[in-house]
Amino acid sequence: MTLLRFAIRNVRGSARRYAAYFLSSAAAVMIFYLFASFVFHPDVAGGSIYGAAAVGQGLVVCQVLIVMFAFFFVLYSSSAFYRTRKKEFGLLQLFGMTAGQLRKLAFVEQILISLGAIIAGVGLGILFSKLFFMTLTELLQSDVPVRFMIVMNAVWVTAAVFFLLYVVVALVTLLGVGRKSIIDLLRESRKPKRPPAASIWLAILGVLALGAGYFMAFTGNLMTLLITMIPIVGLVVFGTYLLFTQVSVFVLRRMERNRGFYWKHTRILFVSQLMYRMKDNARLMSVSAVLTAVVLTAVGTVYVFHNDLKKEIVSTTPFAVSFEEKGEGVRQVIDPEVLEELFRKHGVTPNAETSTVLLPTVPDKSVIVSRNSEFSFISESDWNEIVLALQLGEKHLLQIEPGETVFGYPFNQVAGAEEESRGERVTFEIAGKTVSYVSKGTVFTGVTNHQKLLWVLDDAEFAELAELVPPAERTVLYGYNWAGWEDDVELIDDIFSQVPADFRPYAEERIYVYAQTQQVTALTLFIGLFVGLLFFFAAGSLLYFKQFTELEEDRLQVRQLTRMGLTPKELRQLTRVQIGAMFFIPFAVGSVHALFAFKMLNNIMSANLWGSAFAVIGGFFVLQLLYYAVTRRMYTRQLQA
Amino acid sequence: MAIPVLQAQRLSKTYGKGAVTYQALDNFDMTVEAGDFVGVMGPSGSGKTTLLNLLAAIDKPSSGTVLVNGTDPAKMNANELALFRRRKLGFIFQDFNLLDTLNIKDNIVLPLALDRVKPAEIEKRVNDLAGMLGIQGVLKKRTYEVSGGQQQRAAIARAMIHKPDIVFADELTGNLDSKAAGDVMHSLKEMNEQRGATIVMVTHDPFTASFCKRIVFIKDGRQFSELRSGGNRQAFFQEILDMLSVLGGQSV
Repeated sequence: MTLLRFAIRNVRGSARRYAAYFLSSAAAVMIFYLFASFVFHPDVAGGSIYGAAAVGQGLVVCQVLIVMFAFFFVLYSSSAFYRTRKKEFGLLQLFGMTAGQLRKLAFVEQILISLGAIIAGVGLGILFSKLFFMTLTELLQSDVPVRFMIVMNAVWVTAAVFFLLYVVVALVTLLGVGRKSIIDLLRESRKPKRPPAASIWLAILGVLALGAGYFMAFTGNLMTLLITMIPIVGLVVFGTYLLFTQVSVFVLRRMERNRGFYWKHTRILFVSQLMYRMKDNARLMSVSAVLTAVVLTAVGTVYVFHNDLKKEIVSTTPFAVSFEEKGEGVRQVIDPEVLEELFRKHGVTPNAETSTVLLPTVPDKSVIVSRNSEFSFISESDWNEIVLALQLGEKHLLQIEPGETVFGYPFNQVAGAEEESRGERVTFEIAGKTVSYVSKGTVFTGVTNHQKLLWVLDDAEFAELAELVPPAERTVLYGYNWAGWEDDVELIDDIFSQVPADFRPYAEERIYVYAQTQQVTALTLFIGLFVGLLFFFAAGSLLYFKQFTELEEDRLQVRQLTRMGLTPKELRQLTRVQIGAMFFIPFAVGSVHALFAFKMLNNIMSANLWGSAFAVIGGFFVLQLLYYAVTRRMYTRQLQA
Repeated sequence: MAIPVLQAQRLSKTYGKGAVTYQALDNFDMTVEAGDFVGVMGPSGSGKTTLLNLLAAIDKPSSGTVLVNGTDPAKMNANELALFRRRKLGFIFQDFNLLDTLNIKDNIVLPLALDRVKPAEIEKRVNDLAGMLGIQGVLKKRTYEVSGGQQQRAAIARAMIHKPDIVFADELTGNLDSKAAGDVMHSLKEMNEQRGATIVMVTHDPFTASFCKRIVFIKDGRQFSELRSGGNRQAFFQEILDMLSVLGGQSV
């Protein structure tokens, strides 16, 4: 039998053990090929698709990430494979195989698996590339379709990059093969396991590190973000590592000491096994938890932006379209009749149509914004009319007493930011005169498209001031809003074509902005999801493989426990707990990390993002559940075989 | 007369199918009364391990019945059988069968913990048994930290702690040196004499067997003969050796 045939047999014989590793590798190759085939596609490279270049750059960045990740994933997996085969290698050496032959064998085996993964990955990539192109062009809203074709450049680049990666990893891992004596190799698997040790101080340090990281994230806001970002990540990663290596062992030891708890049914087995496994698995579990946290946070953030965008845009641009005119009765930006004609043409009936008079003024103090900004007075009834017409919520309705005023700030309140001059007397300059009112604080909501900074006055007092300002000096805002505005890009095109170039800055709409940002976030989400899923599955495949390294030990234990009279149901329970702990404890820890990250994001965006956050965590939980179910099934089968 | 603890009637076990069959046990009868300490001896391949597996409900007979206190384990489903083994039977194995993940004490309490016995009661029983077996000093240790003799005595404690109807031992001195084997057998004998434990033990070592009250010899799947101890272990040992030489002398 030649070495090659022997290698092929070895790989085939342990197919189940390599399954998850092979699939994850193939998935990495596939995604790399998909991205490459888009970047190298003649239809894309030719520049016929708007926005394709930017997407291509994003894809290349993702490819670099994939290759870096694949390198560590493959490196870890192959050294783990090698470790589980020590006994086998010892036997081969016992039968007279030289260290050189052994290395050659292991190298050939690895290259075989790698070639298989490359071929399968590129094959799957080609298979799914049309679907990928279709989705991308749809998201890019391009009318030019990207043809289906096998992009040879992409095939070569993918194959070359991954082949090089696999060869380098294979050479690195093989350095250690054949260096140990036969007796050590043979005994390796029979060494008695020792319980893991934990230090109370390191456990406390771990809890403190996590607590500190969580606290900083929980209280963090836009101001502190830049300073605390890196410490938070560092503390949480460090804390996670200690959580699995120290805190977990410490907690399990406490459980072990509590007889009432520990000596109860199968708990005695669960707890003792978990503790023993912690020793080998702690590092892998912390890696898995951190990866989960990264994926959940990254995908969640993009998803949040994608979902929250509309709310954000509506809150800063409350009208679908709005025009600012200088002077009452003046309609220079757009002719109202032309506008109405266009509405009719596109079948749009505004459900809100307001005209609002503003009086420019200069206050003597300003806390939130620069004093040099432009400020205006607005009447209480005008303010309330907009609030009601746009359904901004009853809490924004104002009741102003004579002699008082409220500041209307067109953005959300950043956590910790103060209100404008609350309780103080503010003096205003208007048309060469000065007036003063007591500030009753700030309302944080946009009521104009033009980000006007407004002081709201009692109607009678506003009317008095209006007398001072000549009609030509007053600012008038004409706002329009209607349901289903999201798709009316053509109407906006038509409207803007009627606005003279000089007056373009005085027309503000949100439909274009919305469509464009929507496209960017959808694309990011789409590409990010690929990379996120890849990371997630690779983390799962490490767990899958780890489980199989315990097979021999578990078989022995199942035999021991069956002889002792453990029921089949209890044995199944034991397997469930063992595998479940490996899959769900890191997932739970990663999710908690992600929740704190979302809390920070919540603070930064002053919004409520929990719906989106839980949707993402729930989605990934279902995936994890699937992976767990498959692993358990395969494993139970092997265990009984 | 009371029902015997163990009653095996016309036990047969055939391995394989079709043309290549092998009859390991052939119409074997055996009765064990409460408080008995029975050894089963025979040359390699005589069927003694098969017999133990059938008696201990680890394997099912091709024909014949085994009754433990009047109940037939062969009629139980997998769950009932597991519970039956755990509650009514005790096992001592050549390889000790102790779990690496548990310390000595937790290994001993496992059968009781699995059956949700109160911790105070468990504690009491462990301490009693550990005292009798002389392993109080190693209760907190891990399996790899104690000697083979201590491991096997821990296994005896585990087999006895739930007061089983009958205890089965399979070559329990096979992995021990002669000093440890003697200690372990003295402990087992004490369990039989002081606690009245009923024990069935398979062995091919005459020294180990000499601790029994009686010995059943088995050859080619059938009962060959039986010896009863007159009370003098040295004399019984000699009788066993004589019987083994009659048996073929191949067993040691």
